[in-house]
Amino acid sequence: MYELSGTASAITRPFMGVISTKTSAWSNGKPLVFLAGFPDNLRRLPFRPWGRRNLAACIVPAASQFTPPPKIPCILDVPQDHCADLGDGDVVLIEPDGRIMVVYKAGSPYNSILATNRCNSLCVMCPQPPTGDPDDLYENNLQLISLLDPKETEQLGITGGEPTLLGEDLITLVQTCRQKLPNTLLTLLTNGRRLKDLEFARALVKAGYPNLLIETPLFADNDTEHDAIMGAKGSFYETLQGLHNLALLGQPVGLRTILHALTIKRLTQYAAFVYQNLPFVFQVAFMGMETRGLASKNLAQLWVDPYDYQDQLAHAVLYLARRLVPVSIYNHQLCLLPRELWPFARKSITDWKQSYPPTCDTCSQREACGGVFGTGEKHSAFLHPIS
Amino acid sequence: MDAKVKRKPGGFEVILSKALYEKEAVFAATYALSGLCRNRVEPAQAGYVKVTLEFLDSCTDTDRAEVENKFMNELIDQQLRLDLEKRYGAIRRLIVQQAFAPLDNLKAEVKRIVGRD
Amino acid sequence: MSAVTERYTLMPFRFSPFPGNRMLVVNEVGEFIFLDRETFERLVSYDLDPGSGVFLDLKGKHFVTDTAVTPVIELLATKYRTKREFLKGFTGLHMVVVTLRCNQRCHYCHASSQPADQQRWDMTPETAINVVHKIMGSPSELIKIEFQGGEPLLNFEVVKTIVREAKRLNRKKKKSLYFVICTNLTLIDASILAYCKKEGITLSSSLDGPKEIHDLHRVMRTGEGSYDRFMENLKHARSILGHDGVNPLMTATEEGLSHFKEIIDEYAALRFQGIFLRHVNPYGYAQSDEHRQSFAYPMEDFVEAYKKALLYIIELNLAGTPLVEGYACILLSRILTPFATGFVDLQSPTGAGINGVIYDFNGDVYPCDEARMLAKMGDRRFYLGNVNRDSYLDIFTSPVLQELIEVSCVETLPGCHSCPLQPYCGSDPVRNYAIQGNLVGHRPTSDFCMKHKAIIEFLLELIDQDAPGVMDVFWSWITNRTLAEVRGEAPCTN
Repeated sequence: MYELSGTASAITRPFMGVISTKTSAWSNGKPLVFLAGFPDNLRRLPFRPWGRRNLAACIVPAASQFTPPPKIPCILDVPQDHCADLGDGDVVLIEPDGRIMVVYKAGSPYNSILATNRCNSLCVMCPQPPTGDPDDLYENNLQLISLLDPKETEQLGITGGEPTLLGEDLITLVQTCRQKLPNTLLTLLTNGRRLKDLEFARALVKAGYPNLLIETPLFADNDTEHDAIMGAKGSFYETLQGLHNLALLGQPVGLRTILHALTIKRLTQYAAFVYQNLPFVFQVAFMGMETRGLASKNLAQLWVDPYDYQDQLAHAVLYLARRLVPVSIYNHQLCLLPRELWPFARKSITDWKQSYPPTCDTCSQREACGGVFGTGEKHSAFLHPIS
Repeated sequence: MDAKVKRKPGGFEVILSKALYEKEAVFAATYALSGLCRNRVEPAQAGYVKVTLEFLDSCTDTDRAEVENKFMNELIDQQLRLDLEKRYGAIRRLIVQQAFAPLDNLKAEVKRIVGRD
Repeated sequence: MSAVTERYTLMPFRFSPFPGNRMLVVNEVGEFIFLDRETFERLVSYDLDPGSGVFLDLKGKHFVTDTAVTPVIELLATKYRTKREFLKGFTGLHMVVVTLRCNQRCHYCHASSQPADQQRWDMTPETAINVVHKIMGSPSELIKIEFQGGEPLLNFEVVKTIVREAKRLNRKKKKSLYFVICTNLTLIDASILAYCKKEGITLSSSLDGPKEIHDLHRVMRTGEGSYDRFMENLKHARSILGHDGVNPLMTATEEGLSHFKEIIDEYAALRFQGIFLRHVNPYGYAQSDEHRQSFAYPMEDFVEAYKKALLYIIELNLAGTPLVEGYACILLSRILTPFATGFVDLQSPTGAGINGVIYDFNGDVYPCDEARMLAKMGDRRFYLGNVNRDSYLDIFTSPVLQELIEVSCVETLPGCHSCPLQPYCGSDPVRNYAIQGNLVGHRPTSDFCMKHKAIIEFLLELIDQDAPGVMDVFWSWITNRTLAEVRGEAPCTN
């Protein structure tokens, strides 16, 4: 999540609001956070457009001449270049310590609701290892949904940790999205283990119909390898049961696998297993590894340069494509993929994590390519510009 | 001995130990060759059974040279199939049953039949 | 009984020797693997290391499990049910013999054609209505009505009656309804074509090969060949119904066997979607003394010719001619996909009656054409009933049908029950009865077994060898796409 900070003033507890740079914005009953500096010469906020209850806070960039209204919560002295990343419609969570968390970035296709930090598995390559949840996480999420513009929110992810750990609360979360954002495509990321309970799966599918997609990780064609990667014994068969329940309920579900030393060797066998046992999936996503968190800690055991596994990847991708199973390749740079795989590559790295090393400056495919993980510790030794 | 082959004009005889080759396997192997040979299965000395195979007219010279080998291999394979069937025959029946008339508690039934779930 | 003390549990499979000194091992739903002899021995002796690559490969295909058993059974049960989906709808293919009259008298015809002017061999409109009511009584969501004969166009009024009545009933039933007319094409005219276009009817016809081969046996009642008229009308039909509005079948005769390449070239030149290399059925006229020679060729000869033909067709595909071999396509779908295929001629239990049924001109119902043939020759063993006298249930739960189902499950047939090709194969009890004298049949002397075994093994060998491009061609057939689309060179227009 993108974060900026400054000096807090008159903030006693955390709260959320929608960024507005215009004084003439209608609030629609939503708490607004005025971002000063647009236009530059507005030194004082005319109080009249908003009632006190709608103006939740002001964010004042450093060296700005703006004077906030008295008694209104503010974050002052926020670095100018950081403020430039904020825009109308963004939803922020403001903390008493002066942090501004961008929980929703307007216009971005990569927004997610973080349902929980807790997880029932511990993948060896987890980029964001599980932690506890802040007390108000669930309520904040419900509020976040109510602050989104149903006309502007095309898609929204629900992620974690493992969202199904919320149980009934997850059902409510999904229902709330459907009610408040009736045209928004929801993508739930879950390991599907708890969906082995048919009634829970049924309730979830019903809550999300018809705007819900589910994406589930599956790492091998056997439980020996999958459970070892998931760090959870029995997870392979639980996930399969969950996937079959979703198929029974007519719920669109896609698969994901992460490419590293433990998955690359038998990738085609994995593809064969998917085709024979899960032919109903709407896609299989082959994902490059984000080298942080546990992936960074276990790097020696996991790292394979994507340049070196091109053949295995091509074999598995084309295996599925032949069989009419749609394939996507996420988090891969085009210079590391054989040309025949380019049609499958997607710009999947979340915008604020995207990064283009200097070598990309002269690349002819820079626009089409998703770049690398800025948050990652290690990248391929073979990144190079394509002429 | 497990199997003794005696070649005869127009065919051959095999004496088989009943301890090693069950009736079903012997008959299955004999059946498999019944397109090339006239066959007879009879008791022999205690603990043994005699299979007589006589080449049919339609059996070509190439076939005749291979029939003996074919029969012995078929016998071994059929006996292996019988052994394996004892191990997983019940599982096979469970699969078919679960496919068309799902059990209320499959796990318990598997544990009962296989010994592990 | 229990293998609790062993390192792993074996799941059900069937096996047999395979070229290259290996074992072909196939599981309950048709997933297969080739193992060298030593690995196979170790597999069945519980001697494989559960962490080894080959063990994991076997585990991924449900041949073994060293952890849980129940979820593997669940998966296999789901896949097993999927493979048998062809049973779900019951009878979908309904063949209706609207007349025995024919203007041709092909030498291998087993429909026993009658002279073209004898109308007592026509189906009456009353019988036709009753036929339609029985057809629409089927629970199948998909109904395909195939008009046969003789030559169906000689009783075109009844064809129209059936189409009209079926569509009328379907307004309520809302099934997917398809019509095909199996015609020799010689009597096609503009009004018939206009009707077919209007009602969405496709044509199936017969083309045995280039003129020299086709005219050897597909002759008019007056004796001359039918090729020229066929070709003329083919052009006409295609101009009205579209390029793929006519789909031909070929029947392989002795003369044709050594000319498969020319026959395939003929089909390719006419740019047909596919060809079905069909062995001649040894019934009816084909058994007459006059022509027995041409039709009584050994099955081994057909198989040899088929193999060469298939390789040639693959070559053509790779060179840019997208011709599908229909028979291989069905078998490949069974071998390579987890899905069911509806192919009445090769199913277990037999497709006769429960997936496809035939209504004779007089309303008599038979499970298949062979059964109807036998009745014509005096053996009414497989007569199921008559649409004018009997109810739907009388006919379709007839003890005759039940017996056929009982004796045609390959899982329980001698010779079939331990064959690893079981998931890809099927049985034909009526054929067994006609040729070998009993419903169960005798596998070691069965041409039916010999042919299917040889062809399925041949396909498995081709899959195993994985010569460049071959799998691309196979998948283009299975998924009904162009080679370029399969290779990802072109966007899929599917």
